[in-house]
Amino acid sequence: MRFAATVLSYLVYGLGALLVWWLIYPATAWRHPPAVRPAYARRLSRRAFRFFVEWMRRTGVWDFHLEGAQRLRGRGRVIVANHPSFLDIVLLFAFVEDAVCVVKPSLARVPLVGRPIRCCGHIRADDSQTLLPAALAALRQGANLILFPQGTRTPPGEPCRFHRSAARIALEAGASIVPVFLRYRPLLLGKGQSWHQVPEHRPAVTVTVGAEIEPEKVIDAELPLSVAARRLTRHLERLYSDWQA
Amino acid sequence: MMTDRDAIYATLRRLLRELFEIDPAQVTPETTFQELDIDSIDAVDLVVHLHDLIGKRIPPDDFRQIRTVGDVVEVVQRLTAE
Repeated sequence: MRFAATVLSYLVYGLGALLVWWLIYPATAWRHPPAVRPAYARRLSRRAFRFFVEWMRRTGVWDFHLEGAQRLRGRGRVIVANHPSFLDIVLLFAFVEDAVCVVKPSLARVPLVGRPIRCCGHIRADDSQTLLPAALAALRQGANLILFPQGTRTPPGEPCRFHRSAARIALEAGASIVPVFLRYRPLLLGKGQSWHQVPEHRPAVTVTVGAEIEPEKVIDAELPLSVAARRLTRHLERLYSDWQA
Repeated sequence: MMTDRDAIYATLRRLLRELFEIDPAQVTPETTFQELDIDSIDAVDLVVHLHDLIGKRIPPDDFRQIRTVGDVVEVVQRLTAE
């Protein structure tokens, strides 16, 4: 029964993406001036993901808890999260307002995914020299920037090794960091797991929003950015290791 | 001024210490950036500083070829000799 519900959910995801990005968005985007179209696409995207998360809960695919939701309210902040599952981004897009995500370049070529990435103005992480200015511009416009510092899906329990871009971007933008901790018990759609491997027990999914980190309170502001980014990254790695332990 | 290999190498080691707190004793021409735990975002910082020093941009194609400290010395020497 839950197997059927889970597989049906993935179907709903696919059909939903088709409906939103090949029908609703093209039919409505023209009413917005080009400059604000990505922001409009992000509102649409958030609504679709909220619907999907609620759908998964009501059909019994997962038990879902969001802790510290009020800490997600705000703009122009860097949201970092661990990355155990494909569904992480579904959860973050459902709850983070005006979210611009730094995405793996290969995702832009995935059917059903590439188009929303382009419409919403998500940032492809193919070149650090273009990533930095794009990320800073998004934050300046008040968008929240989502990054998975592990870079790709990582099995829970592995030692935390973070890319330094999240820390570096936050430092340069003077933006605070909101750490989000994602837990699936048991895991679904993790690395090496296929869509039809539905866990035996109903997964309990917990999204915990941590306290906001103001980089200048953790790291000496006099340090060169490159050194400060290293220290701030270590700070984040410790935070996630402690949470895992 | 920055045409001499040894001078370039010394400058690079100084930059690595200042920018990334890397102990110069850890650095040889064969050391890879991966070993030094320098990721792509760090590389951008390094390139910006090299640009300030030599007054020339490192072409993206050269940049992508760089694996070791020695590779950087090579590229910088070629650019400054031009």
